[in-house]
Amino acid sequence: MKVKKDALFIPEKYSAKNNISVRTIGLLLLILFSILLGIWLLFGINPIIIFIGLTTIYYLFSLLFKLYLVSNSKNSDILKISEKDIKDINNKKLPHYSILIPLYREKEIVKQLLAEIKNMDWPKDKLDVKILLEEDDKDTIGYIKNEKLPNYFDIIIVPNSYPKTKPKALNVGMMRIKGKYVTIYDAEDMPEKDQLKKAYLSFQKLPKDYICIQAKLNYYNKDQNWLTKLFTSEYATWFDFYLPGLMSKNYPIPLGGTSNHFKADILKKIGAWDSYNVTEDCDLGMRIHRLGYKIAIMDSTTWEEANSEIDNWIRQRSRWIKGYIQTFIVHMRNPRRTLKEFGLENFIVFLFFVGASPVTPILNLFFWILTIVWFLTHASFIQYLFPPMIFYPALFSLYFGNFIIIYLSMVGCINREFYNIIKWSLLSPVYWLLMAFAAIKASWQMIVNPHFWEKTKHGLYLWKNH
Amino acid sequence: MEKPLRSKTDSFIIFYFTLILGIIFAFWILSRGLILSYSDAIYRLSIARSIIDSLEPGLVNIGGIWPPLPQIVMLIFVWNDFLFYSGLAGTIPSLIIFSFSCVLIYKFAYEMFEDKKLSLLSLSIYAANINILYFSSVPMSEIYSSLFLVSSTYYFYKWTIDNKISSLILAGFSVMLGTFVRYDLWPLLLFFVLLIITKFTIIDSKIDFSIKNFIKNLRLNYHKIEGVIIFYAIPAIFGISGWIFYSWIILGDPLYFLNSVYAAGHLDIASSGLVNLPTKYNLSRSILIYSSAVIYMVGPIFLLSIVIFIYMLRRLDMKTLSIFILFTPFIFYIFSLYAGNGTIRVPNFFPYGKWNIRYGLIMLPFVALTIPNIFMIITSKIKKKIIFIIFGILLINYSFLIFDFQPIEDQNAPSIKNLAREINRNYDGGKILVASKIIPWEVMYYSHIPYKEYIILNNNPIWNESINFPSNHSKWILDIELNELERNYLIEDFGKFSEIEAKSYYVKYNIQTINYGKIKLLKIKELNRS
Repeated sequence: MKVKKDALFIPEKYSAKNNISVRTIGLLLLILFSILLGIWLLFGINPIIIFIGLTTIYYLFSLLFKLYLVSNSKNSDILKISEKDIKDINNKKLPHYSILIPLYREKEIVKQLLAEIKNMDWPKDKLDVKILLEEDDKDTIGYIKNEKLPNYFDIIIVPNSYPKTKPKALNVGMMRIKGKYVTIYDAEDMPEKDQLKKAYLSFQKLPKDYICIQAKLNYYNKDQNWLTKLFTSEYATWFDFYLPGLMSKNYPIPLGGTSNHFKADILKKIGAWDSYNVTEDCDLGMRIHRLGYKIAIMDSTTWEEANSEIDNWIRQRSRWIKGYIQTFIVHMRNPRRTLKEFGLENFIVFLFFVGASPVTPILNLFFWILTIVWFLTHASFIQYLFPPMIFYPALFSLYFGNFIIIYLSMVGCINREFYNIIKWSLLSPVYWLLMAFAAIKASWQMIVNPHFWEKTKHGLYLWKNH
Repeated sequence: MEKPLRSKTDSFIIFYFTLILGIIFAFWILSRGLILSYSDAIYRLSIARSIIDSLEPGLVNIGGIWPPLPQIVMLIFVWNDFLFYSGLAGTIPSLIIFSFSCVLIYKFAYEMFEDKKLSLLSLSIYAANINILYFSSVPMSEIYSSLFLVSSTYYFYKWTIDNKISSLILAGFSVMLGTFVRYDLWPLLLFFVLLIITKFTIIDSKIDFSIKNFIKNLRLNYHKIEGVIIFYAIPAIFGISGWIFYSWIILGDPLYFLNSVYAAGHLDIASSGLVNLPTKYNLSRSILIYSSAVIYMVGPIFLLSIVIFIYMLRRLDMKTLSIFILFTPFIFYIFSLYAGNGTIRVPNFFPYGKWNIRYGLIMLPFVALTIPNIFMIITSKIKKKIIFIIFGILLINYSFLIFDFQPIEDQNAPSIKNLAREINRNYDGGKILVASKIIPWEVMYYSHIPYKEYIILNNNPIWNESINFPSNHSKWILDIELNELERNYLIEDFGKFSEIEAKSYYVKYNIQTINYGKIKLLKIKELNRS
């Protein structure tokens, strides 16, 4: 099969290739503005009050929904595989397993991953590792070529073409894999040794419509600084509670960037990743669900490196948020069809998890500023914006809502027995502030440079330790 | 060893059985007209009602003196006139809370004794107590306190056994809800924190009390202790700070419950009529008075439970320490009496009476869960039977006090009811200005005039304006005269308005006075131009 330059295998209408135009954004804003103005003129209600009221409802829904997910997370069939199950596997009957490792300017940290891969519990004659290197990354190409890798490692050079993204590299690699199953690891990953076998057994246990199994992600450098601690507590809640909660209810799951294990044939059938989407994992998670397949979360962790520098963190987070916006736009090009394919409940979850995620941090910032201004000035216009019907739920949301979300991140920490991080969860509002900055940056980039891949610098922890 | 295989069924049966028991008792209380014997019951109902029925409805009316949870729960029913005026709006939630507390007492006992008979004994001691039944039938906060004291301790104990996060979360949130019920439960948090430290440093290391061992374990488990304490305590801290935050935002003073004229200390002293508290700086008297209050509310078996508890202290484990948590209100109240922060009167000791004697009831869970331990101590079967019979007689005897039951009634109640009826008879519409910072909830309640017709302190700035120019908004003035003691303690806080100033109305306006002694109803006929 001839691979296109952009390695895009899905129809363009399902891809983020074509961005929403400034004109369309303008039109949508104009419609929204007209509706609000109409309400003001017809009913005499200030549209800002309506906006605040709707936002308050959203916050309350968000709070209840998160609690609902957490309470359901322990009911989900997180695939627990015992050591005995793994021992009982007949290695001779195992199929080929492919591992895709996309690298770009990461020669300093890839060594640890290569060691981890060599150490993985899977018969080496059935392991198919594809290292995906960018054509212009001469350093890493040189380094890898000098590494004397075993013969189950293959090097694939990804042509230097637009877009220069991880999903494009993955798609290029995807065309060359031999495995029945395929997974992805990033350069800084440290997957648990038995993860492939756990994934294999999980696929055997699950019904056929489960085509993807996501391992949990967490960080090995959690104690590096306050940012890695907060990042860790966020991930502990996300992967140990929210995603299992989504899984327990068969809701669409936004996949994590690595350690998702696929049935290779079906992944190819559905067109693999969107080369233009900078959060291709989230998009793929939604697409899988829309096409009637399912995703499971398994009880195995891949340890990654948490971003330890603020600017680097903002770069990474802004890319994620931009990808969420892209995903939302892609799946909302034909809302009726998306609704039909998802079903109402899943559609709401999609709106909440994908659509609202980029907006929430900015809304938070707006309300915090409003609160601070009120405390400082007791300005009457702020009181006017919060009539009693909105004020009390908003006050509840401000105090209880924020507390509950902070508390949930503590639950994530104590669940992982990260006792020393629990107190840091109290600083979550600072972390949310960073998210707000990232969201603003993402929104801006979405307009000016939608397909730009904000490269995250990895290896900061390792360098420091060296 | 029995296993809790049927624990859900047991819980279900206990819940409904105790609910029926409570309902029967509540009907009996209702038939004797005792639901609103305590003026606090009327205050709580009225506070809840004023959220929906007042000149300016809204959550602001929840006030800042009492923690809000009981009033918020009552909010579900107070909108209905029948339920509100009968007091059932407070009775219904109290009964449900009572049944939950019974279920938890049973589960707690089962968790500790793994024996159904002993668990039922605990339940019987608790549920057959006449006073807990009474407070489960009235709009008061006692039963809420009891529930959250038991639930916080039960889930904490459960966590020490099953090590599940859910148990720790429930324990933490129970303390949090407790902080929204009574200030007395705030110190619980401190005791639990000490318990966590004790668990990780002493109990888990085979009960080694040496300082060396303590320091070693403290270092070893430092992060775990710190993490668990923060995780456990944060909901309660959040509850406490939330109340302070609310007081700040809504009432303008973060420590309103301490600084306001309604603060418990002020009112206790003013209302009890005692200037020099006999328990202040007198430890033995404090112990004597509070023990008497507990014996009055719980029964003489309290003394036996103390003996058993002292015996249990020989073996320091999580069971004993959990029971110690149930004992902590005893320490709190004695400290409170000793420090002069509150007052309790008991019938047998000077200054005789029953003022706040109900505070003794919080020791009932301690008694209910301590007594069955005697069967763990005494193993002979015959002895067990004898002891069971003795307890049966004691229990039945105590439960039969029902026929002689008389809760503490507000001495002013009959005259207030008459006064309120008179106000209702004279009232012909228009707003009534309550010309005092004291809100006469009882008068307002029994007058059956909607609360939205009253202009009270909560309705600032209208109230402030009305105090200076009553006829701007009101047609009536309810003038409350303070007694000498109230004046001594409260007049400074009460600011400019007093009975003396009230007399200026007689000059300013042509007024018809309907005098009811302490309270006067003034009808503004017209402005006196002369």
